[in-house]
Amino acid sequence: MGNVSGKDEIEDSGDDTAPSRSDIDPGSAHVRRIRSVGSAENWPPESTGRSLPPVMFAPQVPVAPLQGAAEAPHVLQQAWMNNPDPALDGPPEKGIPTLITWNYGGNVVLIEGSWDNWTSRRPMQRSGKDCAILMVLPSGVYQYKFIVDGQFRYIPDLPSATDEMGNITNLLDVHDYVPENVESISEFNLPPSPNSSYSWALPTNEDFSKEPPVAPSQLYLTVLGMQNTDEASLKPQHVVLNHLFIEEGSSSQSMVTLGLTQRFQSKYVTVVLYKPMRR
Amino acid sequence: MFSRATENSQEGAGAAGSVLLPVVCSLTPGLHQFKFFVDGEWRHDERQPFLTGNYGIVNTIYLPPESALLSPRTPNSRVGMDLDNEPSPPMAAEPDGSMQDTALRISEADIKLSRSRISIFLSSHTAYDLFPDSGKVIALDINLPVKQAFHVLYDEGISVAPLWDCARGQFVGVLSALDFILILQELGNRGSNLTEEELETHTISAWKDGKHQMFGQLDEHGRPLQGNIIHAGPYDCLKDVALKILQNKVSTVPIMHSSSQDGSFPQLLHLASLSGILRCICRHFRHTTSSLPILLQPICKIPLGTWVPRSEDQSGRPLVMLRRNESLSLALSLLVQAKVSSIPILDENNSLVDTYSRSDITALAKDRVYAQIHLDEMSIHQALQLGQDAHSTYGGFNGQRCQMCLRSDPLLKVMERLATPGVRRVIIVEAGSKRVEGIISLSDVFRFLLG
Repeated sequence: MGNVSGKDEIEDSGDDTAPSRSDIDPGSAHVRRIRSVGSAENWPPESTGRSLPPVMFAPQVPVAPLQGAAEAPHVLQQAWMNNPDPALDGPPEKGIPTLITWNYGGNVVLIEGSWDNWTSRRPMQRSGKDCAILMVLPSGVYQYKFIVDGQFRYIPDLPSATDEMGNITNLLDVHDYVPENVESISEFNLPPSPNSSYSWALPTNEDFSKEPPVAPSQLYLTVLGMQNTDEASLKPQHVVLNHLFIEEGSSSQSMVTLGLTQRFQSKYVTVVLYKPMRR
Repeated sequence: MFSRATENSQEGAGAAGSVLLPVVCSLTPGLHQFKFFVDGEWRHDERQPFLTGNYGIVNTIYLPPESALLSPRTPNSRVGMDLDNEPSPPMAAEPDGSMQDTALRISEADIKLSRSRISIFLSSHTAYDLFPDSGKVIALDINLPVKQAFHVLYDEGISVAPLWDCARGQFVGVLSALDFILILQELGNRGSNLTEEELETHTISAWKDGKHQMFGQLDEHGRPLQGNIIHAGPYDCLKDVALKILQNKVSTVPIMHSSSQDGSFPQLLHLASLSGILRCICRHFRHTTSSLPILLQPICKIPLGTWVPRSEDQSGRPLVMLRRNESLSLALSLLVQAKVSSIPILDENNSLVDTYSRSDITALAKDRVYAQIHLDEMSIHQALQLGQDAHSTYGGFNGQRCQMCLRSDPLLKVMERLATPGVRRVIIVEAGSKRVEGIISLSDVFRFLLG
């Protein structure tokens, strides 16, 4: 079996001794620490201290907010889909549904923006006291303003820009991915180490000659080995973060391929290292 | 005998055994080939750069033209000579009618305003904004044999990779396409066919040490290995990253982060390039073009890029181009000596068919072609065919490989093209005939935007 799943945590002292955990119960999040093949040297470690990722993770898709349009929520109801904008100059880009709302009263509310160079004004749909419109826009930064009963208005709480003539417009930044909600991750308190004696001996050569324990099935959901189809490659599951993977079959050749996915703030980075194997 | 098939020998008579026979000739700037006629025999100097050309083995010398600045516009550092068979003097490289007709130039005020807006934008965004949501970076251990590294770059479809040194626990440099060109040239120069054993055992670190000794001046990433790799942090502003790339004349800068004070245990995050920064700029400004007035100006009026001259001025820098039946070794020599990153390739009618870039060298790893051919036996056309079979995602002429535009296209269009990943230069052609009129690269655009 080629995949070695193990924590390769390096303490700050640079020492590679890894105290073994007690249990290989696949139901639990604890994994027996096995030193990965061929890496007696230091691998750039994940420096967040604690090694085990939480089993539960925050939902990747935030619930569409009903107040602002700062992020790009997903489609609420299909019935609200407007006709997509006519193709802008250049290669057709993927449109991202974006919801813009106006909650400050008025009878007739229209919206115009830089997505079509201020040529058209669209009416917003009213539901109660609020108005909303669903736009499908390619990723980028746009300016827009509201026309409420014939007057130009903007939302002061949202990002805005002022030009030389003193006109104020709101700014909309449409991302082509959903940014990770960092708050929900960092506030998750990691469980403390369970009570135990922590007196297991390091694995000996005899242990290494045996078959390694079966890796939990969640760890096979790695983004490694997936072809880069386009810029937005798949987002890795949190469970595979900070695990060191070795390419299947490469331990028999003279070169070994190691892969590691880490989180940096709210983005993910996968580093693949090719190392020579000394036999 | 310089670039002409005449018998005009200019060697001075000297005693045999003397080391230096200085001969002074005044040459026009460009690439010249020459040979020595010693005691009745044509010889070449093996210690100077040489290649096998139409006259056997010839030495080459490359003369950069003096930078005759006629205007405050930034000159381009790309030089070379049109290497068609008809001898033509190097000509100036200025956009048409610029010096005489100032009414056509765009206003300085527009340029200034656009530059300051871009500067504000770049200073308020950080390298972190360049990262994709989920990105992948390939790194190589510095003790990997060069040959395997070559194949890794080819398989992964990349042309540059940071180098990791286990013993020091640091990233110490990058391996780029230029390294492979130099390796292939060096191995080719030893006369015999490439020996696989040499590539098999030669490690990257041995190569870098040797390269530093050999090419002291070559400063792509030629700093001594004991020095620091050129890198940036995720919180550095985009302006600093762009300046770092321009000033060090590199194509990418690794973004690394270390949570400890002394920089140990670095985390490799991203390979930043001017293309990514330009993508950020385009994304932000493409829908608000009124704030950057120069975006809609046609590029022929904007002082950037290298242009094939229309008049017979002697100043400026000519554009390097080659025919597709020229040998690959000539193309590689030019890439190294002229310090350009790509050369437009023309057909017999001088129409553009493709470009040969430094990064195309990795295509030679396919089926280990590099070990089976002599560089001077392979034509550029064949080398390009190799690349096209390999990466079908980059369609040959109409795909991403060879980005073209017209001189009347607005700057925004050129910038959007350059912002496409994998594209580092746009070639300006004449409509219909596809004759090359100029070339605009990422660094040209940034030097202009950053002032």
